[in-house]
Amino acid sequence: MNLERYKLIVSQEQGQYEFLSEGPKGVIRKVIHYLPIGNSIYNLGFGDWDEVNQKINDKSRSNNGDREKILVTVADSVMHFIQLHPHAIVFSRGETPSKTRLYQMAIAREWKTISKLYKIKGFYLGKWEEFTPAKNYDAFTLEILQ
Amino acid sequence: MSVARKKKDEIKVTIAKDMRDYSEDPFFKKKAESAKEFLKKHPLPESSKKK
Repeated sequence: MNLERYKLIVSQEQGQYEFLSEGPKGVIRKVIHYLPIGNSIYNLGFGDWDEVNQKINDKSRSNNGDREKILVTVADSVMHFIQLHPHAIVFSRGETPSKTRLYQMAIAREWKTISKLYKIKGFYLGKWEEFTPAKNYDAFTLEILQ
Repeated sequence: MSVARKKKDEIKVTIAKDMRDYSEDPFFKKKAESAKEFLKKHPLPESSKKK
């Protein structure tokens, strides 16, 4: 499937990615950061760069009308990061339940392809389990299928 | 910057050597700490633990 996505800029040493979201609210610099949090585990952090305050803006929505394109681009960054770090486990938990749900929808939509390449676990009702597209998870992990 | 073109199914990216360091940004640090706490409370199953 040829989905629309933004061009990713990467700083490989730092586990950081940037791209520019373009829409009615203008051009917004998006930043994705994979910070190590444990034994080969990296947290996926994602936010908007606030040029005025020189920090990541933690507002949950930028409403730039390009949600799908952003999700595809973030997914690209996950795949690229995993290619660079084949032993990594990427942990993701949305800032809000609705954001986590959004990530889940993105995974579910591409599940046929993703499930052939990656092992995804979801945290559901107090325990980790293999991801199934129909459930609402609180958090996810993704790693390459060995 | 240089454009890294990779073979089919790999992701095309532009490599930046001078990107700002975001690792100390309070938002990312807070998110990472929150993730650590979550995983401390709800550890990953043995099958996910890397050697």
